[in-house]
Amino acid sequence: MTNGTSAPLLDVRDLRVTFDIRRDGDMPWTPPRHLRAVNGVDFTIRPGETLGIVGESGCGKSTLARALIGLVPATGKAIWQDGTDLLSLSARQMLRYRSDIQMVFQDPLASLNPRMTVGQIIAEPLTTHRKGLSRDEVKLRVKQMMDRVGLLPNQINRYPHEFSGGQCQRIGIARALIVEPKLIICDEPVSALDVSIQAQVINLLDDLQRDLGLALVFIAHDLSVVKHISDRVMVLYLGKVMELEGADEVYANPQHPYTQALLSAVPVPDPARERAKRIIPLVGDLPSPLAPPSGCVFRTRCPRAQPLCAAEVPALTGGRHGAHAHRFACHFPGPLTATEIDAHREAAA
Amino acid sequence: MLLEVKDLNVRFATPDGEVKAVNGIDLDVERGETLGIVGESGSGKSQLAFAIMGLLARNGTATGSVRFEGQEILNAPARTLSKLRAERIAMVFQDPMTSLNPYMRVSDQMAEVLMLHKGMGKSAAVAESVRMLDAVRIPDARGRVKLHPHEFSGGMRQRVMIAMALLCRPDLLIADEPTTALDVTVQAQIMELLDDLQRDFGMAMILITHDLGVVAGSCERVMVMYGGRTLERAPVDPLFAAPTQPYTQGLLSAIPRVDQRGSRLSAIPGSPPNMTRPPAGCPFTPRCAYVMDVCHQAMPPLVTFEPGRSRACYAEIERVMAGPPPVVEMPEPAAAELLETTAPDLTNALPDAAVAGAGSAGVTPEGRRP
Repeated sequence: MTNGTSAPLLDVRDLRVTFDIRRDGDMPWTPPRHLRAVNGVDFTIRPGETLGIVGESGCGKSTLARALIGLVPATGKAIWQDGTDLLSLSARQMLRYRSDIQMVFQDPLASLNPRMTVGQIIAEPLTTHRKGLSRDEVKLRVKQMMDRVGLLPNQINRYPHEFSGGQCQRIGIARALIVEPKLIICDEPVSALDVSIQAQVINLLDDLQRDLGLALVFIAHDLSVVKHISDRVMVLYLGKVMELEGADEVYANPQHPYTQALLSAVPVPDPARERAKRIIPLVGDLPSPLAPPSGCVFRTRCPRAQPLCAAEVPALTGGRHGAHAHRFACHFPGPLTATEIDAHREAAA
Repeated sequence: MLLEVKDLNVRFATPDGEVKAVNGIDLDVERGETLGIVGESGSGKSQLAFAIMGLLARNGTATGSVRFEGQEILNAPARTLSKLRAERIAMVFQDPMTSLNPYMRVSDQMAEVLMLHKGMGKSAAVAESVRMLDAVRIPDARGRVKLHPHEFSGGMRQRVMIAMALLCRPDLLIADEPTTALDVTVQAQIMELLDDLQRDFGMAMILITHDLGVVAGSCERVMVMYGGRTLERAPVDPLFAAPTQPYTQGLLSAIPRVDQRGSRLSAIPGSPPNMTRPPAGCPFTPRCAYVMDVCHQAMPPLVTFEPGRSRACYAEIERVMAGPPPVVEMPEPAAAELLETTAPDLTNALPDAAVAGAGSAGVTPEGRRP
């Protein structure tokens, strides 16, 4: 946890990822269409803090994660704490920073090479980034790391298929931690796991973060999990930030209509609350990111859309709220009233 | 009684030995009610549904009794089953993309059902399909019925699946993880739709899911499965308010909640049992906080302790309700050692390669998203 005043570990400004899309049958001279997967995102991550990123499929959250470690080309700035802009670096220059930023992937089994032993998998970042280490030293560190994440060090010569999903995710976490990174990007790290195993992995991440002072970017579609683990939460929609705030405030006091709609849809394991709850429906489908709506990208499905929303892009503004800055991109923020929700529900039906 | 299942067992012959996927399950469904079946991957909840529908993979066998309106349907001849399946019992599967035929227009797939089962002409069948697509709230149903499945979004595809299942007005709908592949806002809409349709059509529904939140919203009664067995059965309110079985209790405290401030999650140590060699006693024994000697020896019977509520556990209710004893923190490696043989489970039993690939222990196929 942080006090919110320390210097940022990573300062991301106006991050954009654009894919050029060519259709079958396009002529060579036809200009490609642009898919803006991430469309101007600003945020900071402080040392030791967890930033949760939520949004529906297609909102650009995974692309954002991949852009941060250079797996997809991006424009904008991502200033590391030493003042270097990571996005301006060549692949060779980036190598130095790769060991500071590691990633844990969604699919625990698919992200491990089936032909390598667990020992080889976990050692690989070490042999890449710490070339001076002796073989014995590497083996020792791998065994210590296995013990740290709850794997038996004597399983070092086993292959990934011999482990369960939860254990495979522990291997993935060990691989990320072995080079002592400062920031770990977790892209849906628990969404492929069963509930009881999911809790084990979340607790492990919690412990590791506290003990090692790691910063985490935690991407998930499960809002309950994100709330549990995050200090601050960023809500994405069509590649843009809708709301960014301390986790407790986002959930207790959401200002953006999209955040409110998302939260109203989360099923709660409490029958009485479930029966009483009022879902804010989102009408229609997610607009195509090839042709996003003008102005506010959410306006086509917003219960509160006005002519202004189509004309002007709302800026991410707002003040401070407790330790964290509370910012939202909406011309008409604030809780939706029961009348507004009812009118919207009728329009939806 | 609409559906009555007695002592249902499902076995799969695999190269690693026999997988005991479902073990002595009893359940009943009344007309118009919703029964939730909750369990993690490998708990046997989907195989239970497949066995009821007669859809087991070739290496699977089911024994016991399944009565639909008094008629025995387990291992019934294919002709009887295929008639029953479309007209009386329908099923909605998890993945709407792989369960629709990608080569056929939606109109053709839907009309086929009505032409085969109701003897309707093509144009009447298409008109009825459009009416059903309207009922599941697909905008511009008339225009979109001619499209192919890939031209619909995930949520719309699941609506098409539901519309198709409802074409013959079934008495019972079995929904196997109907919303797991969908976004939370779409999930909310689909669950609301299912609730409305169930009321309008007077259907009974069996909702199979791993998501306790979804169960809380839509079910009247809940059955909790683990290791192919029923561990607890109760109406929805008492189950959530006062779970009496250690596994149910563990499951409820392991989920982070959006409506509560987070403290540390109480994870259940270890992982689910390997069903080729299930434990002799209660399958939850290796992970249970209330474990006693007797638990290792024989499966506790499912005992009804209150009208409508039953549990399978040797520990007294009062003891379980008092909460777990102070945790003897099982060192994680020890937990891993206990369970390191969990890999070959249902993987080999499932017919579908895509599902089989996803089926290694602890990984839910349902958790996998694009």
